[in-house]
Amino acid sequence: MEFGTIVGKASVDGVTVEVGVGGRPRSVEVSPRAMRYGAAQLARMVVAVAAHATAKANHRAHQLYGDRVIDGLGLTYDPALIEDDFDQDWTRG
Amino acid sequence: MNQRRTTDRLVADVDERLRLTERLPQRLAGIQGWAHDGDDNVAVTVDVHGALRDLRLAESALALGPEGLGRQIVELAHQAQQTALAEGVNVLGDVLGDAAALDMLRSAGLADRIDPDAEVVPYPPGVDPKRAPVACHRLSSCGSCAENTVTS
Repeated sequence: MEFGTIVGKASVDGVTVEVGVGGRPRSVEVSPRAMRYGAAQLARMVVAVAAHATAKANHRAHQLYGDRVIDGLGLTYDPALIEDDFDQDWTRG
Repeated sequence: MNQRRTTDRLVADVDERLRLTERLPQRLAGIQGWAHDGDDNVAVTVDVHGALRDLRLAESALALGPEGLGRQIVELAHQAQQTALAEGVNVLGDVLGDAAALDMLRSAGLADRIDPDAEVVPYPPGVDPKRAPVACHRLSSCGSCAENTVTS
């Protein structure tokens, strides 16, 4: 798999973000329901979901290219963010 | 005129390069770029890799609709990353020299950010070709090095 084709994707409560390695967003999808959370809440959700997507993409890059290469590029990640049970209840604020 | 670099000069050059590279990863990691739409409904901050670090939405941004808002965030994130990358090249240019920085800007698709009137120092800091002979990677195209004699 080529470096540029590696992606990470995360989704929660109607917000889905897909990013490349490093976290550059490829798409941000917001459901009509998520639009009702309000601007400030929605903004926090997008940033949080993007962080999970970024961790997944960077984790994948580490698997494919090795820790030394990817760490050397500054592409670290928090292992806690690659789990799928991203179940914070955002509707409660 | 003695064209050889003295030991003191070589040591000083190495010290200067080490000083400049010592905190390079931290400096690059701390770079952020920022972009906002014309109406200031959406403001995006990213790091040098393009990762979303902050997002500010005015309530009026919701009028863009779900699809429009998603597209706007992606577009602004890309714009913000261009700014962050340009700043990153500036930092690298401090270490690698202006010529290398310009090459990086061009290869990153940021040629439009190059000031055509800016002075270009084609050698890395700490290595002054007028002080001692060095091999120049720009070869005959480099006017600054034309008078040097490479003795290696």
